[in-house]
Amino acid sequence: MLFNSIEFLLFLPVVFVLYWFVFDKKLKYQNLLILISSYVFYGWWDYRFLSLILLSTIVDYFIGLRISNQASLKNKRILLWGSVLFNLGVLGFFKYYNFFIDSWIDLFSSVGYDIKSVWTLNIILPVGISFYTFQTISYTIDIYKGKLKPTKDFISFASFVSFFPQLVAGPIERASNLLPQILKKRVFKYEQGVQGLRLILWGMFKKVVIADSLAPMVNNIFENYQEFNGGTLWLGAIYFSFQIYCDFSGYSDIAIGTSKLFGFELMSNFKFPYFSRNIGEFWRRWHISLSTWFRDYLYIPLGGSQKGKWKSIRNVFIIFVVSGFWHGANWTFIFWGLFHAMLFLPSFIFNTNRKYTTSIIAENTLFPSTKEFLQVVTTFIVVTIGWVFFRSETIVDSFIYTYKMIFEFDISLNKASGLLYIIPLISLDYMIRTNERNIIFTKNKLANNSLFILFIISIVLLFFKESRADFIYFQF
Amino acid sequence: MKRFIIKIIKYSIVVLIILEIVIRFFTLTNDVPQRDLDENGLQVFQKNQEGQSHGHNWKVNSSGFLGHNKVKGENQVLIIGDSFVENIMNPFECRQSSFFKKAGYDVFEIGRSGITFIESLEFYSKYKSEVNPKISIFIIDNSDFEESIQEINKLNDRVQISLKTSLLKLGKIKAKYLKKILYNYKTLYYLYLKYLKSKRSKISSQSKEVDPLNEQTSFFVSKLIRISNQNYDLKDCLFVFRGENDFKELFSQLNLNFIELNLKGVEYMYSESDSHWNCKGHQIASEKILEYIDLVR
Repeated sequence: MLFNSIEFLLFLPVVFVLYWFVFDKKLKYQNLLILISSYVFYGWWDYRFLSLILLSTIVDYFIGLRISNQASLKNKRILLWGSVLFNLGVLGFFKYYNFFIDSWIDLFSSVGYDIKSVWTLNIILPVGISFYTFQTISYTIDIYKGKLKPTKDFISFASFVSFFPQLVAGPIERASNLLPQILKKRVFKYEQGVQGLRLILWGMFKKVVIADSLAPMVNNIFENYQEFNGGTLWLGAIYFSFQIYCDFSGYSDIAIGTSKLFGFELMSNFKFPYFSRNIGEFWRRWHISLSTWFRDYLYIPLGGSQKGKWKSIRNVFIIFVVSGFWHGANWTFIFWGLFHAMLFLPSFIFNTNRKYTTSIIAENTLFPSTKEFLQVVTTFIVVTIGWVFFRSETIVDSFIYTYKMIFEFDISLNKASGLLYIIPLISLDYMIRTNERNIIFTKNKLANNSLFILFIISIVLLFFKESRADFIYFQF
Repeated sequence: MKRFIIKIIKYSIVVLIILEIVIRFFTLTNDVPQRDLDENGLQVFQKNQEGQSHGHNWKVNSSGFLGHNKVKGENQVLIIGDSFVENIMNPFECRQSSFFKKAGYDVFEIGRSGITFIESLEFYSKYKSEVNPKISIFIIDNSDFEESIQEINKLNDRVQISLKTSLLKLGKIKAKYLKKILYNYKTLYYLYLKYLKSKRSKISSQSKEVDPLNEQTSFFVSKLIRISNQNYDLKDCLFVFRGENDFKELFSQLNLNFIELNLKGVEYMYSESDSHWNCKGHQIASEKILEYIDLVR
């Protein structure tokens, strides 16, 4: 089920009413309702893959319990690896199997061996597999590390794995954050409910009004990039930067907002990433749940920055490449990861990557300083170039596209209409930039203005179209 | 919780009012003419309605159809058909009657979306004596035959014939009052078009496969054409097929006049939003039909 569908528009109020008015007597009934609703939500897309979530849930539930019961570290480690290999195995098979087979075939044919592709399988990629497998992996790792106690309540654990607001595209929740909330009785709070609705609205606005309107322009430019001059290709890349931002952060906002309606607080996933002053800051503001996941479960276990400069550089390289590969089985994503590693490493080596960890541009002023402005623009430009690799069909296309952007540059206002969507968005984001988590929370006057909210609701409804595109991150 | 729900209701009411104003002010939905039954129980539009569709005005004439009123004249032509003749999506000057008028013909059009072949023959019988046409033109498609036959697919809102009993079954106007509300409350109609209708058309376009005419259907349609030829005076009629005529041999055998427009490959003649002819399409179609008429004369 998509958030931007008529089904969800009906599904959400029904679950909300059942949750607070029918199943509110006992916690376990509410959790059971969450579980059933989540399975309906997921099964709406393809019920066959529910078995995969259920299998992953059962495996990690029992492994979690066994790990905590083991006295021997060796046995704990074996069980942990069992869980990790199982989850990565499922992910690897469904997401990466064909990529590896095809890459091997390409490699052999490049040196003259022609292998017939009998090993390539017709595999459907289950929606959201990358998200929920990472969530369950983090559960067993946290138990192994003693950060978390396993739950004996299977229904609650299954609800944690399949929690419908964030099941298919995140934020990738940690068990240590979400599970305790599932195990505790929730009480409806007016403020939380209102914040939830505002977040849903803001997410819908970004998805339905901005991302979906930019999508056809982006598709047109990227599919026919050979025909356009560099100026138009720049516009295409900029449009994609905002399309993916509005699409994905819109989804996260709806997910977080929906969770609030049920009394849950999810982690923040985006914090105005395009106002970042360097790449390090960008990665602290973009897809936060994934970058912190890699930091906690890959970078730090590899030694982080504690084992010398060269090993730290290697570790940075690894997490960026793996992060790229996580997005999809294509060389374009791997190169995108590599590209960001290259951008990040200089500031990492010179210890400037943690320069802007807390503040935001123009924190106490109306406008940014010239230096800040130039930093933001430079960061945005390099990130946008990176998106070209992310969006292109093949790695060759991405190189030709970037070549044309740079060497066939020509200022042209052809296809500049997409800027009409981007400029208001940047302005709105800029006005609320000091709010920690987005428009919602906020004591911001604009966000609390009824007229503004009514305007946004009306615009969303006018732009809403059932046949609009899926969320980009569903494919990951 | 009470406060929360009251807030949602308040906002919903205000939003619905705003949307109604915006949709009406910018005419974001097309007006749809409402239907009634004539004295024979056939569906026509409520007379003298006016509205706006696809950026132009339309008006229902005194007979319950879009298009020119009946006039008395020498060079009369009757054109009967479905949504292609109804032609609500194009301006008045793009009607078949307008193109025919330029060629010196007075045309009375009987066009209504969803009309079946058998229903168009019923209309023909009714208006033939009134209009006294030199030629009656039926703009049709093979599916119009199939939709006429109860034994193939029972459709309660269409006029059909039972080939077993040879009895005619009149069509009912579906959800008349609901439609009245839907068409008058623009927000509801707008949301219906955007969400439900676009979803339905998405599903139907995904699942739509052209069924080859099977033997049984073919048998039924042949029987329908024979019965029609026996019961209606089709001597001065021309059957204009938008695509190909799947029953060419039978038509020739029964001496029924027909032409095939077969304009599928012709560029720029279809509307951007659906499969109907645009203004250019109507012009091309009228030229082809007039060419045939002139040839016969």
